[in-house]
Amino acid sequence: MVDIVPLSSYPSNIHLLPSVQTCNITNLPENYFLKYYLYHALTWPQLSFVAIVRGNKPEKYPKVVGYVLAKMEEEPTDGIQHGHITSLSVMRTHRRLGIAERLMRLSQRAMAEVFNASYVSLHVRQSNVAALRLYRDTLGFEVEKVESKYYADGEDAYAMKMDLTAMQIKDVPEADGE
Amino acid sequence: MLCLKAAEQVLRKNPNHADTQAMKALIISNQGQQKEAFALAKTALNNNMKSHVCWHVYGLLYRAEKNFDESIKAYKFALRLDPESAPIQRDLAHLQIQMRDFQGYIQSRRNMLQQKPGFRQNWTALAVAHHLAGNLEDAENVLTTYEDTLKQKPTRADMEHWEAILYKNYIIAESGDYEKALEHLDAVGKKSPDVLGVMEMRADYLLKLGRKADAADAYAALLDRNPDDSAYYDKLISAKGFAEGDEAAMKEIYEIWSTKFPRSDVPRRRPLDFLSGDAFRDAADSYLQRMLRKGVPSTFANIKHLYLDRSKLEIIQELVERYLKEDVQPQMNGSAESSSEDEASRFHCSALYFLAQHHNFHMSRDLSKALKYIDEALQIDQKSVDFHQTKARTLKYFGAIPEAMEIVEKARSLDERDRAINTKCAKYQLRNDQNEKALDTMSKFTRNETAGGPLGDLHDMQCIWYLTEDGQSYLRQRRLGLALKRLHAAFNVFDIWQEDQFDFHNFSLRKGMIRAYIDMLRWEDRLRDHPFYTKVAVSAVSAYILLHDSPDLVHGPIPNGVNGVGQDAQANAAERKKAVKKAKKEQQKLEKVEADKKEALRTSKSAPKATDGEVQKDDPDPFGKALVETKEPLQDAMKFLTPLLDLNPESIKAQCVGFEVYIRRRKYLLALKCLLALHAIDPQNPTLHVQSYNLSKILNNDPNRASSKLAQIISTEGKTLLPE
Amino acid sequence: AADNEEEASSQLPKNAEDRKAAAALNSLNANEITQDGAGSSAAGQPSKADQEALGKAMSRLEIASGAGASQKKSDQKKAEEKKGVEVKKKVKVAAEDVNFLVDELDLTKVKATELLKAHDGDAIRAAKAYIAPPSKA
Repeated sequence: MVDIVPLSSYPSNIHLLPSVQTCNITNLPENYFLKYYLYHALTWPQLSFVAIVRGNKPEKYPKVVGYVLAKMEEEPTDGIQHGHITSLSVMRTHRRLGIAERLMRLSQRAMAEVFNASYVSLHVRQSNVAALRLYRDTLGFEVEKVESKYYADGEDAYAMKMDLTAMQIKDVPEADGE
Repeated sequence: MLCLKAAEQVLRKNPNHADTQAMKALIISNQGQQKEAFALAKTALNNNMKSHVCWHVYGLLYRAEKNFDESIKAYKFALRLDPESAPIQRDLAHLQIQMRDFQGYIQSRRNMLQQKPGFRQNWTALAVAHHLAGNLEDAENVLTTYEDTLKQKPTRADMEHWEAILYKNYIIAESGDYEKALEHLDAVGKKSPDVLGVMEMRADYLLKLGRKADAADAYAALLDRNPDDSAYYDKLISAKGFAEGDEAAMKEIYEIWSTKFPRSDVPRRRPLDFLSGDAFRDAADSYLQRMLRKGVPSTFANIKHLYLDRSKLEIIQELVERYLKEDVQPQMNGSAESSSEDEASRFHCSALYFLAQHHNFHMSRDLSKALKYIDEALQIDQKSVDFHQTKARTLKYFGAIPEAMEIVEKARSLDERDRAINTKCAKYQLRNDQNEKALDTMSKFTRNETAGGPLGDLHDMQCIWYLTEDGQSYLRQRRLGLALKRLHAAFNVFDIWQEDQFDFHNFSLRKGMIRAYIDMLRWEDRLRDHPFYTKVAVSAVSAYILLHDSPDLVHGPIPNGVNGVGQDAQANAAERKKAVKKAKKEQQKLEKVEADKKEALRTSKSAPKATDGEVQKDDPDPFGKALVETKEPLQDAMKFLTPLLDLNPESIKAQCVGFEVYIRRRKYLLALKCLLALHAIDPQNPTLHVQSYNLSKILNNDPNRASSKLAQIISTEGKTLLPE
Repeated sequence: AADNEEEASSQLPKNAEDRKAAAALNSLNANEITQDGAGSSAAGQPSKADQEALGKAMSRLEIASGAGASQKKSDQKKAEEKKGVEVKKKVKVAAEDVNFLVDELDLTKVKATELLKAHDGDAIRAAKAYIAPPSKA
């Protein structure tokens, strides 16, 4: 049975980073050293989430079967404050349980709430049918453009984005003013 | 390069300009010339012992060498010469927090605040210093003192401010005053943009304060955000205060959220944990039919934890077997006939797959049935990667590792773009001790242009599982040089992770996410309690024990049996000599092949040189010769064993390998310590009995060790463990 | 430092993913000795705090700290007086006992001495405590 929990907000699950990294390198060609995960966890602790297997008894190191690693774009080329999905993966053993969708929705909501993101962007391989189904059909992302030879092996990427303005929290002025 | 030329220009006119010499030392240090840099830095210091720049650079060089004690000394010298230097003060502070010198850190941060009180991060840093030192009240006061200086109300976008507010709340809660923490959260914290964090903290405090009705509402609100966290349900149910065993009331809770969130799995799956009898049967039937009709391959993985309860195991098996026999008709409304037929086929196939996994699982294992079901499933879908993988697992459990490996290779070939099955294939190859083949498999997804090729990339990307499995494979093959090579590489990854925190001491204060920073520091303090480290350390210690017991293994693997005892001594010695000679020859052959490969690579292309910057270094010892030729294997083992026992005392394997090392080192009290720990974990452990007997025997046969103190301690502490 | 930046730029990875990772991690670089202590994007300028209030806050912090320190000092003094008597009583640890713990428990001399002091200089009690399994509480 799979739970979805924050990576490093409250409560902290930062100790799961080695397992998140292993989930990444098990499933995806795009890999990062742990410091890059730490960078996300310590810069935007509200945006990343982890899927863990809850067994019969509590464990400090449950099995990590999925994660979303997310950030805010630090120097947006279009000048619009927006989020970016650095990496998303679910172990093969736990696919089709809706984990990826839940990870993405939680991350997107946090981007809009915490950092007032207007939209979220990501890259996906043109050949990744399952991921495209999730992003385009289930979540509502749109293809912005094709980025030629984006990936290290030369494959092209779809650059996709999704509007988040409906989830933003407007800064309501307080009654007492100032 | 420009800086280096500028420095050299200055030195041409003024050869003994200490500060410039120091700067040059720093530059060439960054270019990898450590020895030259240190020599130049010392020259600079000789030229001007009163230059804070020279001492600061000296400290930086020591810091780069990870000699933190000497680095701190150099920084303190520099500060004595220039007490107002912010960069030196900051670098000293970073070292102090890195070394967990909390009192020193408080002093440094106090000094920095006094120099620059206008910067909020200096206040926060002093609060962090107090917090980590355990002075929670002081930490809170520092934060409050700064807040009281603000003349403007912070905007919602001022993350540094709101995170500092929540950090203060975190400190208040840590002191145990949940009432005050809740009050502060409701008054101020709720304005923070970290909505989820505030909600989590608030719900936590309410429950800890026993305000059950409010806590129930708080967890309900959290469930409305995320219905996929079983902890929320547990806490909501706890707050509701249902009678023990009130399954119906608990199920009702889950139904609320499974209705609100039909796409979520947890509210549907979780009731299976606590329901029993007919209620369980009905719920399991619904759940299983729904999942199997959709053809969700993860169904068994998501259900197997229920098998701890034998009766649930039997019910589930019975249900799914019934699905196969009766081919239970779909319960869909108004579906086209072709769609129903497809669903029935998917349902049938999923049930077969489920039962194959069921009979693979150790609690319900029946390998013949597993094979039967998976073969049936494969007849329906010959292209299924998952089915092949499960069949490979069955064969693995049968003991047919080579056959299993073949099946996984077949699975990999069915989807060459999928790294997951590629990873699985490499793992099977390593389990079958096909190291070269495994690396070739991995190379399909690694960056092979990096120094060291695929293996180099796996190092760089910190692929712990591969380094560990590769090392364990070489250990099985008794190729101890390579085993130690890989296991030391994995150990070094943990060192890198330890070191990674350094840059965040500055960065996190700049970014303002202090709670996450504190959590990271605490994680780093216990970094090596991770199961990944346990595997690495246990394997490495085992390798060192083997090397200590069989020193001839330094020359390469010797066939099993040569160490056997069934023959007479002289013939045994001759045969042994022959085997050692052969092993040496084999090793030299391998080394020559590697050397030839390196040479060919070097001549075929021009390696990146110093003009680019960093030199791409070849590994001078690819076979771990230096490691395996150690004169003190048991002492080298301590590098792995000490953190293992410190942070994982509850690990049976850790205590067992610890005992074996200490026995061989004749540290009998420490060996006894391992036995006592093992006894506390598992009094009936068979290894415990063997090791207790061994310690007792050694002590009886070692009169030199029968000193009065030692004997007295062992006789009293080992009384229950050690036989006479 | 310019040198570091130059080095990083020349070594920048070929593809977009890797460039992002490298660029992000460069932002962590802390080894610039010319950089002012508080120079950063978030805190490039002094905060929105009132400068006059800051001065008062610093005084208040020092007063609070001093008050806290003096209070703690009195507490510490009492504790230290009590402890001082005890420590003077137990300052005697035999070199033989220290060596015994160093040899048998693989400890440094400092740690062995601490352990002995914590157990009234009794090597046997010290060793027994050290090898006892953690209680399951």
